[in-house]
Amino acid sequence: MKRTKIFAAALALALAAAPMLGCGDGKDSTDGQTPSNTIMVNDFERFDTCFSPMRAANYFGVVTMNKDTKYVKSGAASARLRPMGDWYEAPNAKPTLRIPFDMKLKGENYGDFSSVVMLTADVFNASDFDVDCRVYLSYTGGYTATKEVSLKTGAWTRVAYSIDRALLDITGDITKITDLNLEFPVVEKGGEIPDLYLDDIKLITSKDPFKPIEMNFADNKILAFEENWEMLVLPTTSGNGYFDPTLSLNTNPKYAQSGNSLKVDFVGQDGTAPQWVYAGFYLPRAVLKKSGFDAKVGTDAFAFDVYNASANRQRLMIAMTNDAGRVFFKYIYIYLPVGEWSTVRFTFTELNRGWPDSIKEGQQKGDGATAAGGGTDKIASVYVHWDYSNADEAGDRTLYFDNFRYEAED
Amino acid sequence: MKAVRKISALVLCMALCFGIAACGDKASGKPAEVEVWSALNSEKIMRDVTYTDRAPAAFKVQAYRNETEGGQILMTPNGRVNSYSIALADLKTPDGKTLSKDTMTVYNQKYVEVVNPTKSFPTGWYPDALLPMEKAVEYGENKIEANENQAIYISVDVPKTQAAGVYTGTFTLTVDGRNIAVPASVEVWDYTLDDENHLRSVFSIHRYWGESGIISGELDSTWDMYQKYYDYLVDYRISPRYLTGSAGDIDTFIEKAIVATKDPRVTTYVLPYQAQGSGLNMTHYKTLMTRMMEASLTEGINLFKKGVTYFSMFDEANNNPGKIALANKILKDVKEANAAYAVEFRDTFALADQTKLAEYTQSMIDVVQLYVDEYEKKLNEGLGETYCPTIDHYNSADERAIYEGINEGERWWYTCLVPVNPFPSYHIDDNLYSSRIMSWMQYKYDITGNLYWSTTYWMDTSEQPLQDYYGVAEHYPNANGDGYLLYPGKVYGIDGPVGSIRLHSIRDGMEDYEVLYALGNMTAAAAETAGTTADVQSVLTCLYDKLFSGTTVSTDHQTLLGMRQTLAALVTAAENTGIVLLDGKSVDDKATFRAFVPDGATFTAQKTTEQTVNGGKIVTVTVPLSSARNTLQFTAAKGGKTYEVGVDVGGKRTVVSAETFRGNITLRAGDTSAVVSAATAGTRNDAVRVQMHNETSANKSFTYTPAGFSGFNLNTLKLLLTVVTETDIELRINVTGSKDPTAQSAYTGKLTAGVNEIEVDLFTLNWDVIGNLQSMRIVVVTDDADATVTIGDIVYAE
Repeated sequence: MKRTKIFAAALALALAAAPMLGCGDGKDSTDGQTPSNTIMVNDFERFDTCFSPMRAANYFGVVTMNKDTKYVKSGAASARLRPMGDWYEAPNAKPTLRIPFDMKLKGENYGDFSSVVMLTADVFNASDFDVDCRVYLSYTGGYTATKEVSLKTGAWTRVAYSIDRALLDITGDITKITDLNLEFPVVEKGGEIPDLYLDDIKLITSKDPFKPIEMNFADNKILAFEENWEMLVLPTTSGNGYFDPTLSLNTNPKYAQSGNSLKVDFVGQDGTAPQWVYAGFYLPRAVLKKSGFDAKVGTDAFAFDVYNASANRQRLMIAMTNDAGRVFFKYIYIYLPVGEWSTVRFTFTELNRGWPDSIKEGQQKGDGATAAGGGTDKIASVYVHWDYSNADEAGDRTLYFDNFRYEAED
Repeated sequence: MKAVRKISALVLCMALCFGIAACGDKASGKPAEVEVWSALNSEKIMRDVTYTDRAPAAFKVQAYRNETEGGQILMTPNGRVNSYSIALADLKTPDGKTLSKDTMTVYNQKYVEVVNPTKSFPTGWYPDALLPMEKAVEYGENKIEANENQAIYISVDVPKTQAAGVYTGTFTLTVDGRNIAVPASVEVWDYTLDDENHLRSVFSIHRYWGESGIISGELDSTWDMYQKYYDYLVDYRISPRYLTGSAGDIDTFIEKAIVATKDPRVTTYVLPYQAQGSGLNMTHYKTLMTRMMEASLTEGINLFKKGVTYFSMFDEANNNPGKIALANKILKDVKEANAAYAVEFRDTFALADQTKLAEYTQSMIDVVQLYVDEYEKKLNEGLGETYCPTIDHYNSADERAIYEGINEGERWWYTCLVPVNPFPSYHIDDNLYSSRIMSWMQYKYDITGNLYWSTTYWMDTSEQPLQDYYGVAEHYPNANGDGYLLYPGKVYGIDGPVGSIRLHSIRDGMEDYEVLYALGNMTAAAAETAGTTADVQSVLTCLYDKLFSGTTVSTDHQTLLGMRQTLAALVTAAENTGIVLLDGKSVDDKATFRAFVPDGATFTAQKTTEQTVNGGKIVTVTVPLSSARNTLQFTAAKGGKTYEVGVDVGGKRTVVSAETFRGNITLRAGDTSAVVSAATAGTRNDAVRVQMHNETSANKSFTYTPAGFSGFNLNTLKLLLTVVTETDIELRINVTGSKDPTAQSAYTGKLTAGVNEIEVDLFTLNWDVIGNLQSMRIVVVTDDADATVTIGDIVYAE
């Protein structure tokens, strides 16, 4: 399952190895070979400060401290990774290691990416086979696009993940990037477990300010997919990388209201999806804010069009969250007939009413809506989800979205 | 936690080697003076509190054979200490027997700061994680800042073969190069604790929870790592919730279940399950039952016996209609499925041993299905569930009666965030003995199982995985220490978990329970031999009363030690002489006990009468309750062994005569038809009968207002009354005091028709504020217009 490449390809920087820095200092390197704008985030020299913050997502596997210098890039230690997941508990979940930038025991927080242009890490693959690794960053409410890296057997690979600061400033809070994520393939039952060594996670910074993306929101338009930037600002989400949909630009007029549209491919429910997986994409806060969301009044409406190109009726869910990531509006019964365009439309009165504690089958939007936090909270993001728990049929799904917009009162 | 400990007078440490130069306070150049002192293993000594009343430096422990018991050595320097260590030594009895130092484990006490107290305990640095001492040295944590307290915790695993006696010797504490001798003593009691546990438990080990749990804490998702946590808890007599392996991996479950069933330390495991839609995956469940039966018959062991169901889908369901519906469905599905399988298995296993098949099938049908919440009549009838409410729901007799009535066979309880002190808890900012006394309560109230929601909830209050696993007390909001008893060991190079002082206390309680359980069995066996009845609880009440009331803890660590010593005296005498106290009863101002004395044993006590029975004799001992403290003292001897037993049977009792009672009753104004007369009440010939009438209210009442309440004083802990009623009623007793005439509720209870013995706990009332007792209003609540109660002598018990 590949995700849309919404970031530019990573630059292949051939940086000289940085000198060993204890995980406890994290200062810029000054040996003359490494650019002065390099920050050592994690050199894996101490277990408490360097290893304890890590989170083993999706039943990651085993991480140990390695002191065999054969597998150390710099200093005296590295992290040995055995990503194996759990075949029984989460057969489709890709073992993922999350490495926080807020390193509390070290007393450092590297999560402000305002000046970061690249992240690098060194990985030695001691397996006798190549290993694919997907690299991405997390922030509150979402994560960046992945970069896929092939870790060649018997060699060090410099993982370089370039940062599009302008984009990151839109999709999340660039000053609060939370984690580096390293995602590895699912290991089948009895399969071979990769044997990897991770060392020297660094940030490359630039003193040059980034140029913000110029977004056009004329005439109540939010996203119409007619301009290049519009395909860049929609992060995907599912809480589980396997189920993230693939976003791409559609130019076939059959599936667009006008011009182009957004094509969204959802991987089908093959019986292995966890009970609660909501796969989709979201409109980030920056997009909503700059498009005038906050200024809309009760009778204005938020709307978009969606075409169901699948073989069965589909059900969408729309959710809105505040800056803390808390859902305060949710509507889960948007049914999409096969082969038709549907318009999804909510007035701001409805949105601000919040969502009821329980919405029963057959209820219409806004029915009995009791605010569960709605009202005055600013909407940070709008999520469009496809609900796996109600998708019994096998097979992939394709939906087309067009014309995210505001509609004024008639 | 009180800043000033009520132990013994301050005793300064032995003369320290002030002349040695390698000392900590570099700023002044002077060596730090270190006061060495000690504390019981049931005390939490905070790092940043000045304790002015310190016990002398010593390691002093009393334990049974096969018991683990600990003690604490404290150091408080007046300057920085840069290193310390302790060297143990073999301990010896006067006749040369040895208790090897290899039976002892030394831990360095780690502390965690409580910033947001759970209840009323102070903020500050509390002891919790117990790090093996060698790791503290290896990681440079054997340091002390000036004026801070640092504990070394030493536990002794007394071998099963260790001879009883007092073993003494000297440990050497080395502080910044200076040696300090610490006297050590271990008294081994003449009783061997059973390996087998009888107190069931389900303690969760969260392997993976919101990207936390041991998978992140240890950075190890292998089941081998989970197994280390499992084994660690079993070593502490605790049964973890799940056996090692995924729910879908039935092969591994069967393998582990066979091991667990054979392990006498394991009492319980939760049957794995898979959710499916709005219920269970019954295909998986049937496969599980079939495989369990197959393995049981093959191995000749009952794999169902230790199994329970506990479905998280309707955990704590009472306020959630969806969960209630789910519980009704799943509990019913399981019950019906088990019944159906029982029939089906007759064919499936037709060639197996039919006696065993019948036994195992019955266990499958009878499987305990835990329903974790209080009883609120919301579940359908006939589901066979075992309610597991929080501890506070067992506080009153009426509440306990509910669970005795609805739970067939077993009663369970749990604690999760609440309740808080004075109920027992596992909170960091609670008294350490609280968690130990929980097990004593369980024996008294026959609570056969204890459930705890997590031992590895390693999240912060915003539900983010921890980074500093040892540095955050409050994982779940407003409940310090709740949800974790273990710490990840990997940060210290330990292949498995690190325990806590709370976990040690829980094990101490589990061991105490086993002693109570054994004494109960010995008492029942003696009664059977003698052809009489027995009621061990009536004897143990003398101990319980000094530890707790209802399910609230009401004691201190020294009293707990005293009750433990009393229990040891009772059980060692019973074990080695066969002499047991069959029962005991306090009536008015006398306590009477019956002891079974087997042939060949000698029983010596004050004021006894004897009756010959099968296998020996029954001796009745009467103890007048006329002194401030009254003790049943006896000597049990057999085969050259002599055991001195002293049981504190309570304080002074003062009886208010029926005449005095009758003469000071004030009837409710307007109740013109009320009658007060002499009567009998139960075994009492001298009682007062009060007939009341009220057509406008369910409450019928009268007030007892004697001049001065002679016999009542601020040491009075209980009022004892015998109340006879002709119908089921609710009885309330309200009191007023000299300083506060506002009525205070002292008692509310439901009485059934007949004789009711009532104990009114008074210690919960704040007499300092209320003042001396002025009046006692007795209210009978009944829908009938007329109410009659007969009350025997009132007894004030100190």
